[in-house]
Amino acid sequence: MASPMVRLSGIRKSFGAHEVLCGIDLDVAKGTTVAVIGPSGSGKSTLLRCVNHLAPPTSGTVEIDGESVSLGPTASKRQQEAHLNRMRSQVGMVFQRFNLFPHKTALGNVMEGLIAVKRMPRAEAAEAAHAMLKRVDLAGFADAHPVRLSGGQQQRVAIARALVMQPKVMLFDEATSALDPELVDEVLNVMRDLAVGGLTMIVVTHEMHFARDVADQVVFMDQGSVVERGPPEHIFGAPTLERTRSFLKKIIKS
Amino acid sequence: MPSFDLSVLLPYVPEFMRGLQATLLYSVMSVGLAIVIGLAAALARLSDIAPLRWLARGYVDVVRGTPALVQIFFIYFGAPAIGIRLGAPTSAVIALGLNSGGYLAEIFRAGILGVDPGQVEAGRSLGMSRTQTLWRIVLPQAARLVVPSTAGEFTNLVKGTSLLSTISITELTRVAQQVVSVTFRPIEAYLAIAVAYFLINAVVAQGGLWLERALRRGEGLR
Repeated sequence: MASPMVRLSGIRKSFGAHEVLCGIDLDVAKGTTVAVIGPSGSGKSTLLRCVNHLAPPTSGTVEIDGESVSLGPTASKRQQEAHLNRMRSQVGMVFQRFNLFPHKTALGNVMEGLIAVKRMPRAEAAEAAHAMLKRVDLAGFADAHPVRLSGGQQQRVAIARALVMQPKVMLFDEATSALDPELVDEVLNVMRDLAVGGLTMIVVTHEMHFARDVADQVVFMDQGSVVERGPPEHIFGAPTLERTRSFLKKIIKS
Repeated sequence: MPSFDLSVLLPYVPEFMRGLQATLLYSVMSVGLAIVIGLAAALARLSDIAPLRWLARGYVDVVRGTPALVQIFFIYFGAPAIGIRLGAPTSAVIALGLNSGGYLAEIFRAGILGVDPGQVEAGRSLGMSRTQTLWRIVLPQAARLVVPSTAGEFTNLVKGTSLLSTISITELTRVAQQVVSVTFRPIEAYLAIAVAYFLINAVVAQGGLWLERALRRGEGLR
């Protein structure tokens, strides 16, 4: 089997005495989508933030395409920082609250990483950013500031901002949870297209339909551990464990 | 008691103009120094390096806890005592810059902390360094937050230049004192410079509002 695009090994994360992640192993094969589901407080978002070390794991390793996200302790602080920045530029992240840069237009938001991180000339960056805005169906909104956009449009700009960096993997942290219900689908449709297009994705979500229809693998987490994992037809069709069953029952009823 | 008559000041208009010029010049130079010092101290207070934080905290506390006039005397009369000859103009700019920088440091620190931490996460997740995130993402947004209080601090600094009259700098207040000593017309002279200070600060306040609006437009707000 080919080496996975993302490999998490023995990820533990504590905040003070409180252990949020209790040793997680997860492989994400190239071109596949993993949906991470579970009750709030189960550590899903923290796990996602461990992947690009926005929350550095207390122990354990993260590899992207065979390369460790963090250098060993023998490297100098400066080397570690440079390496981490380079690895992060290969991992796209989409946040629950969009986190667009309010002082920049939609186009400026999408260009930012290309200019600051990839040192791309402005004209070239603008061209790539325009193309990416078109791809998320926002061609006419290049000059709009985030406050002028709906939540769904903002989130699609955020996806374009991450995507334009040509990441090896995309992380979605409850990307539709802050949206009005009628705006959820426009974002999910973009995500679905990306998954079908062969992008590697880790998606933390409460959208069970999306997890069932789009994910290649579903991971159910509770209290900092992976309780059950498998293809969606297994998790949603015939979950083995009582904890998974009771979670799904609660979620699908509401 | 002679009646109120502003025309007694007419022969001294050139002196007042030179005083106004000096007041403006010391204000502008001190503001420039204060911004640099204030930003450096604000960043130091938010640094990971503990001694830097302590140093900045100590500086801010001393500046805010002692009178500006004492600070001016301390630098003007104190520097020669340790073998540095600064002269009045240099002492003046350093003293006012250090003083105002202490207040700006706290304003800037609050502004930086006022930016949503999600903005830093978004920048870092793109692969931007800490420095890039600070200059490209955090500071432009903090700038809009701090404009009103910064403009307020600038008006304080403009008024503070009147203290420089005590170290023989011929700015507006000292000119007025000199004119009074020959004309014996304190009401006219001090009213004239009060109006001048008021007008300078009206421009500063209006400039602040204008800048605030410009920065709001820069975020697509009206």
